[in-house]
Amino acid sequence: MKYFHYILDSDSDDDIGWSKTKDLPQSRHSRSIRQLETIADVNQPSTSSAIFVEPPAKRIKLEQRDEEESEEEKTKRRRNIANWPEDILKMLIQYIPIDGRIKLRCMCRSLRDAVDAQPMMLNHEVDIRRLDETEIGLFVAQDEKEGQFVIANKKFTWNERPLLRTFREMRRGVVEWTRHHRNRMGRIKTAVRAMFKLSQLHKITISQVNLSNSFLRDINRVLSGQQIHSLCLECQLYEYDRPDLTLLNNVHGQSISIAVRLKDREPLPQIERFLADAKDKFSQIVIEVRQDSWKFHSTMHYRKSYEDYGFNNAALIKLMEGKTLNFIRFKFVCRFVRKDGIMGIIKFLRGLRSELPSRGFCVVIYREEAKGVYDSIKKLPHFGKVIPYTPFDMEMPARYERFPCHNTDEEYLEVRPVRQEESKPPLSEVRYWRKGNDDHVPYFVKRVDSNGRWDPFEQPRWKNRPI
Amino acid sequence: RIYPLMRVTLTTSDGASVTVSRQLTKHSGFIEKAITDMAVDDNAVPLSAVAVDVDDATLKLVIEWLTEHRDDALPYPEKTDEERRADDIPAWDQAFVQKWDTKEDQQQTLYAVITAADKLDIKGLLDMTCKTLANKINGKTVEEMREILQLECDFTEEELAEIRKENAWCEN
Repeated sequence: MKYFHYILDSDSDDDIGWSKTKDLPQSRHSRSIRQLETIADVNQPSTSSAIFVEPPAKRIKLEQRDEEESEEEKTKRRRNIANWPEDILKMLIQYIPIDGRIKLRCMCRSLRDAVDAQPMMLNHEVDIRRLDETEIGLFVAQDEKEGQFVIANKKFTWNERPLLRTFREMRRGVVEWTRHHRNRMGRIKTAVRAMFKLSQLHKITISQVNLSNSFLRDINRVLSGQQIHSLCLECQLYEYDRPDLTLLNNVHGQSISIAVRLKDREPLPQIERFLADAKDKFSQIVIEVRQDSWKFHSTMHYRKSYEDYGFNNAALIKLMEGKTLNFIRFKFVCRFVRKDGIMGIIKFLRGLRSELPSRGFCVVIYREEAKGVYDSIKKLPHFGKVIPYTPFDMEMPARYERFPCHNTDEEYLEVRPVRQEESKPPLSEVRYWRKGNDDHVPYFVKRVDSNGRWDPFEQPRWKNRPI
Repeated sequence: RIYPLMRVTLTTSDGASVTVSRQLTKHSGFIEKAITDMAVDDNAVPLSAVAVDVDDATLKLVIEWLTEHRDDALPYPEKTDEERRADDIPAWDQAFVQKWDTKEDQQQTLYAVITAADKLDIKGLLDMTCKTLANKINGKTVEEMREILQLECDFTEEELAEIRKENAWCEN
């Protein structure tokens, strides 16, 4: 309506004497005229001459600024999208995905303004909240814990720390563990077997293990035939381990999460072989790749990164064509990640998304690890107005001090209920915890990073490892 | 209270008059406001006062849609960003829009109905037509979008270069 303004018809206004700014409704005026007609006697000439003739219907005309435009041109201009009111444009834009909105920005000024008036679309702080399986969001996690939130899709709270008693009860009747025994794998296997004595087992998370073939075989043996929906493995791959991940292909489950920590730069083709079958078996795959020494160099093509840890773009696209797979999430934790590399990954995933729109993707970077990238990404245009961001409450409660288990070398099995639909039987999630450091263990070095800080994700390394 | 047998006469910008049941006009916020607040006589609502684009042909389309949706619940449900989908247009509405394909200028008909729905404040019709237009331009290139929307670029060369620079990092 901004191109038109209302005026009254000058012909009728002058006769009636109505105000141009404050006009009366036509109906009331007509009614008064009709009342006058009924009262007066029409046959008398003096009366009839005194009767007002009903004025023509008061019309409200819309006068255009440009007088010379024809009627067709007027209609054409009114129906031009650029002249639409903001409400319609807002409604239209709400049904257009982010890709389309970005294209709309180059159309005309009104569409650009309408797009920019929407909430932030590619915002690293907000977008994760509305990230669904058909959207791509770039999320820079605050720290490792928040990164865990992204992967687990739930908020981590310190209150969920398991009680010491839980595991003691669990392992009752099992062979006594040797606390500083170097065969950690044996203890984990024992724990896994103990887990499967539980009938209502839903999900297993095994953290910080050195993956070996014997362990994989054992997991496979234990998991086969069980009602396991989800398996999470956090493992690191050393050159001498050479684990064959295809052993996991016989595991019955829906979701698998493998956190791989590469210690060597050579490719790991078994990951590709594993995923080749897993894509038709699991509906969700979460892969986390950590590589400390590798750099996302700006001049290096981003595809190199996939090839570095075992599968290339062709394998990735093939993975997307899996029969059962509907969700895949990659988490890259690279200390020297650069802006160009991240942009490359985003572009690649966006390309995949256009081909397979029903699949979900997410790129996660840790802010502490890639502070430079975070700053540069913050400077990028996000095309929208800022929504205030409420950070997660990650403060440790005071009661945490009552359980100083992070200083111990205890291991826990945590059993906690899994929230799910009420129609299903209650399920529990068992998580294997291994806390603390290995300062006092012979042949181990401290788990610190290059800056001397204790790194919870750093595994103990053998020093003069006995053969 | 709305009496279903009450009739409302709508006068379009080109002088045509259409009389419809009050049951249909209850979906239009503008007509309801005109009847209740403006105290129009004989329930005659001149649409030309506000909805200048609503001509006779467009009004007939609007009334056809209102007739089909006369039993829809009011008020029209507000949806959140997560609930909003462009692919859930009912089958009747899809057929209703596809009928315009036979017309000479189908796009202009769609635009006319969208603007009419906005002026007459018919939220359901506006929602449906916006979804239809969004489905038309989804997945298209910039040039195809410009052709569909029949838009002319009103940016200067410098502004266009700036926008392309801004968009570069997130375009495929």
